[in-house]
Amino acid sequence: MSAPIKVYRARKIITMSRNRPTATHVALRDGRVLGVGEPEELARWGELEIDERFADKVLMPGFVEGHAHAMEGAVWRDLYVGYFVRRSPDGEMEGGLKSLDAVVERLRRYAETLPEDKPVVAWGFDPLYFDGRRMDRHDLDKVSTTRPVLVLHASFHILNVNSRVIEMAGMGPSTNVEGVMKDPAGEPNGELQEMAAMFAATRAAKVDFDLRTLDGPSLYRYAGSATIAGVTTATDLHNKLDDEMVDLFAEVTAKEDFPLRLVPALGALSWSPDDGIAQAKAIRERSTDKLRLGLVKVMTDGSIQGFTGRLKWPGYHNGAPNGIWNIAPSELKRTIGLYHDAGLHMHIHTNGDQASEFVIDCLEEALTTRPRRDHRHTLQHCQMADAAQFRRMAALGVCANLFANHVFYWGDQHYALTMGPDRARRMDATATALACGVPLAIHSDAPVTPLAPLFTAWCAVNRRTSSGRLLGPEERLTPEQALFAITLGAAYTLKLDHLVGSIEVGKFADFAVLDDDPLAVAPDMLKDVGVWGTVLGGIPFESPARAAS
Amino acid sequence: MSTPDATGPLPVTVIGGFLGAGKTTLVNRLLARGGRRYAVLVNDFGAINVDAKLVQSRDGSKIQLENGCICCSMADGLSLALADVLDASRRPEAILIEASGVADPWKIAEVALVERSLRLELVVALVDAANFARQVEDPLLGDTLVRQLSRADLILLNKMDQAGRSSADRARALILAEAPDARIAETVAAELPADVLFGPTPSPERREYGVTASPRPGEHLPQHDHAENTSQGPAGHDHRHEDAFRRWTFVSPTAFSRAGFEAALGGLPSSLLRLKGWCRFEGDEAGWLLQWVAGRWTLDRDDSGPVGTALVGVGTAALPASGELDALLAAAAPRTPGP
Ligand SMILES: [Zn+2]
Ligand SMILES: [Zn+2]
Repeated sequence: MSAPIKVYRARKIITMSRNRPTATHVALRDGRVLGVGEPEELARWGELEIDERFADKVLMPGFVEGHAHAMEGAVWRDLYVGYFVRRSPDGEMEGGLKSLDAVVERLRRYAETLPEDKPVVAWGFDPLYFDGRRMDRHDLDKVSTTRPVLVLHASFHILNVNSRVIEMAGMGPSTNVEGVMKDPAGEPNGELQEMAAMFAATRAAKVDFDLRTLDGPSLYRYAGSATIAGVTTATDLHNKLDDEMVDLFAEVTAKEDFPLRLVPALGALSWSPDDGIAQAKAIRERSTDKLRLGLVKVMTDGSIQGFTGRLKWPGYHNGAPNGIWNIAPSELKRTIGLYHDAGLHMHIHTNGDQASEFVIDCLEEALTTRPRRDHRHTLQHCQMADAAQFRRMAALGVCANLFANHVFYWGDQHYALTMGPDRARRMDATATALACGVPLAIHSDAPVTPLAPLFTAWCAVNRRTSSGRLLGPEERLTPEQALFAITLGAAYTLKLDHLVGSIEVGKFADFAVLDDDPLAVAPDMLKDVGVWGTVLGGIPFESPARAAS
Repeated sequence: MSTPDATGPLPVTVIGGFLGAGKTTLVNRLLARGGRRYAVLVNDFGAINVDAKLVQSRDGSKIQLENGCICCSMADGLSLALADVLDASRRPEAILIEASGVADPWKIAEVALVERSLRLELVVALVDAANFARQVEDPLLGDTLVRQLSRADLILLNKMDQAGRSSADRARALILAEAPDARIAETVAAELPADVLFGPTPSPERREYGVTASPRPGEHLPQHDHAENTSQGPAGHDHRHEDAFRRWTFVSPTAFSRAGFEAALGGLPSSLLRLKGWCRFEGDEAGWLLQWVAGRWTLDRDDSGPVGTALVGVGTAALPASGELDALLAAAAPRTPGP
């Protein structure tokens, strides 16, 4: 006679499975779901040991974040100074700094905690909400005039520095580069834009802003952020994935206390197509239960809010020139074709509608000449696709993972500047995608926005901008649709829907443990549903936010 | 050409242009030419024509050549590749960056204007003369192609051996419509004279003043670079590319007013690509070395030149006659009483 069967009893279990949509008991064996149902039914498997710790909780399938980056774990090495409150992987509330003075004050306090010889480095700064007031070097000189102070914007494309950094970098009135902003007297004012100016400043200050550098601790921090948000499966949706990096992922994910299934995607543009295809196939063989390899990420254009997304007519609302390609369209088509032919599974970044249309063209050609069933190629972000593009995607079996968080964070900007009112309404057109029959997921792109699927679902259900504007009510999802998108919907785009995304026999025992029933709360309270933590493969992981308090 | 000292800023040349315009041909020419230990930053090793016998070692992101050059991949981003080069135990003598087919080479070049350990030498953008007019029609691509040319120091209408006159003229007109001051030169197989690539070499010995000693347009200069010309036999090698550039020599015994001279530099025609040499200023015992490239210039203390002013320039075929250019600088000289 084997050991008794572990059963979690919960106030409610939302399974996301047609077979038994809700239940109160789930039985586990070997880290998998043995059965969902009444205790009498489950007892037919053998002796039960009922664990009551979640008796007042609501269990859902562990959330699946289909587009985030492990860099989320790396950015928290430095101080977060954003306008919106954000929870650190340790569970602390950070940011929420509503004025420049508050940012400076927070930096000053942080500087005191650092050794004197350390530069003061922060990220997540977003002056969008400060009535046009920009930060300059004099603001940061209040933090220190003797050591470097560097504040990276939320966009990751702008850096503010203090006078000390300007001096170390040797920038002056004669520095004539677009990215070095000047004050009316012609002196650099401390705002540095884009690669050239940021490179010079970070080099002079000896600050490693290469946030892509992942190590064990940053992967654990990433997993901490995931646990806080109820996420049990998360992507690292762009990584070179050379052998050294795969070794790191393999070593860390194998640890029993590592509370996350990781799905890294190989960045196709980091390799020649031949080498990338060979590498993706080779590492696919190294997949384990907690490390799923083989997915491929392809970049195309930039971002809408950075005016670098590739748009169709009529282009940017404020008249900004069209965005940039990361790779020539002809090369993109060739790359997509080769990875498709190799039988690999692609997630393709497209922000502007010219990019999404071109990728749909490429996939249509590949799929017409070399048909493949159930390829599940997915357009990531796909923010500006219109109904016609979604209809074509549906016809081709292409999935969409839409960037619902954009509606809240940049919706007002899209309304006023980038897209104008009409097109802003249908950005991240979640309801249109579903109506057209496109398999749908929604995402945070953490660390670009916070990793928090319930918040992402709230965005898709409410479509409120940060100023409170209702942006595109026709594109709102029902709570049920949104919860599907952050569980089974995302799992489907990753070809993991047979393993995660619902609570069903045979699947991993991965749960999000919630304080309330997200289907019972008012839809505008979805983001406020408390998360106790997760269960991964049957093992409970309490949120660091709870453990701390 | 002068070799930068071990600590001085590294000269950076950026080569841009769409796929098939001849970027890699130019990179290969510079690599094969030798003489300068380059770090070459490319997106894709595939097209780099590295003689296998020259390869000393290679790993995923680097190829070390026996002649001291090194090829580095930018697949992980320009910043990382540049930092690697700058931090290497043996620094190269110059950096050559082959921009991707859709990048704006000027955006890349800006790093050399702002990073202290780098110095921008030249931004060259290549155009496929035969196909450019058709390529800019492409709604996915046209704006990108124009953007990558608009701020280049020098635009090469390349592959002239494959382009008809009318398609080349059409390409030129399209470029000028977007960038009226563009320096455009027609080339075959990206073949460029050495003084265009590395700067003219004024001679400090030259002491006959008073006369304009300009070579005739099209005159062969000694530094004409034949070393890399392997694609055509000697018989097949015509000197069309020489007609693409004109030279100008300015020699004068007088000292300039510094302010007037600097103002005159700002007024030089956009067809001038480079101007280099020594000059003297009123009330200043020191000699100065001028290095002027596409409107960017430096004046550095240097007493190795002649007692007067001796400058050598190179520009495109549109460079005005020497007399006109002389007059621009002569205006900055104080009026000396006639004999
Ligand atoms: Zn993306
Ligand atoms: Zn992303």
